[in-house]
Amino acid sequence: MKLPALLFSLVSLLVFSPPFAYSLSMSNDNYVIQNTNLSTNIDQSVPLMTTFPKPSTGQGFTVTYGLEGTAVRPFEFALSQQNIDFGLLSPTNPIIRDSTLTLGNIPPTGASIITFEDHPLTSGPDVIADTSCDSGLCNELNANIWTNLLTYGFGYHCDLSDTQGCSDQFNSSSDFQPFPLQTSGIVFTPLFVTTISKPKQDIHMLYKVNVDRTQKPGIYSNTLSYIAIPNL
Amino acid sequence: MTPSRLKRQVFLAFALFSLLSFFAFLSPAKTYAQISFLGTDLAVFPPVITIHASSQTTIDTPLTIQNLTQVPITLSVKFLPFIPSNQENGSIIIQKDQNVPFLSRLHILSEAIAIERITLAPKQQRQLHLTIDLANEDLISDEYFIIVFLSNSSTSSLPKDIPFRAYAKIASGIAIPVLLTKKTEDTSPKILVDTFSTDPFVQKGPVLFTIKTMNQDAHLVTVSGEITIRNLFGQIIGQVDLMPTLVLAHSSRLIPSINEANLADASSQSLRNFGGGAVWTESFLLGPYNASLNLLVDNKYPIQKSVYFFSFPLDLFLGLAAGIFIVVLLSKRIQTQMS
Repeated sequence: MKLPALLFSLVSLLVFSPPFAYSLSMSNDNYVIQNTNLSTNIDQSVPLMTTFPKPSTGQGFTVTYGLEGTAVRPFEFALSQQNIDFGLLSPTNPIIRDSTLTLGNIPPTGASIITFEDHPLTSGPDVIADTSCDSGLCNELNANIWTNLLTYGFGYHCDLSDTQGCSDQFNSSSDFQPFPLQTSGIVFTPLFVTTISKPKQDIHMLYKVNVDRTQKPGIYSNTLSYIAIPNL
Repeated sequence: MTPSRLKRQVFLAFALFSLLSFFAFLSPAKTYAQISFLGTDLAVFPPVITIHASSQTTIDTPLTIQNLTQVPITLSVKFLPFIPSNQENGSIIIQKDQNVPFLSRLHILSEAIAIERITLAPKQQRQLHLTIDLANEDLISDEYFIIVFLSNSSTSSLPKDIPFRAYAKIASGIAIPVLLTKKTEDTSPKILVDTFSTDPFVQKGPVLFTIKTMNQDAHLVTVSGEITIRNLFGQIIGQVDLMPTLVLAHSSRLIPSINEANLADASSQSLRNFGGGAVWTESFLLGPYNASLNLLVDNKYPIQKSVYFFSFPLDLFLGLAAGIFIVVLLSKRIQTQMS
């Protein structure tokens, strides 16, 4: 009788089992469920540009695309997410989030990514200042170590371990620097530069924020911009 | 167990397997919650536009942008001037002063209407037109700018009930560099090879060459060519093809070889990091060599330069010599002991 009972149980399980449901993220006005391991694979199922315009020639001008003698392909740039949500802040409790930038069809001359922020993390008149790291010496051009729980601010790290092209100042995973301000006098020097042509290149970014006990509660935000540019 | 009972058990097991397989195919259809794609994915073509303008004219050239995600996206369209980076590797720097009067002559048209914003449906590909109004002015010097398509992120999915939190919105942008230059008469451009060098002594390949050109002209030029390597007897034993390269006005540029793209997979870390140079990948070298650089500027004007280097596998020679010495010493000792 054991075998028929087993057979019946298994059949019942299959027939009455609930349908499979898959979701990467769901959200409404009250909550968001987010899978931080969202794949950033460039969607190969979507045809990448099936038609291409031809370079034009008119009276008094001629146009060429790319470099002579090299194949010219569409240039692609993807981000894994449009928001970096640090969630609930608590003093001396640094929060780190990550995201991935992806370059596709990098041309033979390579490509760069520049980045800047519109302003520091701000909530009305209150500001979470950009980090100056543990030494107080890091800035928009120089990264430095930031591990001290009593060092406050907001900054980023570009992961060198699997990415050739980030600044070599990010020697360790503890090296951070602040984002350049859009309105500052500092030119937008590239966050990432590669001279190697590749079908795809991922750049892994870390974002860190830490506040002190005197920071006023509020909803702090800013806008970070990433612009991918083919090299010449 | 009797044979008949065994047969019954086998039959029941087979029936179970068949039933399970049957229901596996008939299992309820999988349902997928709607994916709210959190990222952006944009593509543009072409990646670089070079325009040669010879007279007062209005320029019109097409370009394409595509939204590769499954959600619509709205992009703002901007023009930003740039200068070549002092890294001399083709990367650019956005200029501090973005209030350049020339930018007012630029427009992006969608179906003949000038736009500053564009909305792309999921997976939509749209052709646009870049127009440049030079009808009332001569182009004296080159103008370099990028066309930037920049998204605005949405924060509608973020929870609003946490009183003390932080978030950063991310705007994604993709750009097309545009190089506007004047067609010049047939005069030789003012460009020179500032550096053509390699290590004078190497033990083995690959051999790395540094080539730097300096454009002292007011207009960009295209440089192409190759490096020819000759041995002691004047025989050509190798050739390195150089990548056609744009050298912008009043700037310097390192010239890479076409095979540099393969260096990303090279086993040597120093080779992977060697950017902006030419590589001769021959591994075994012996004796003196002459490397001749043959450049062609704008497909018309030749420039030549030479460099010499010497190769000797010193490590290999020392290793062999040490091995021979040890063998001779041992054999002499053996002979001495035997006698």
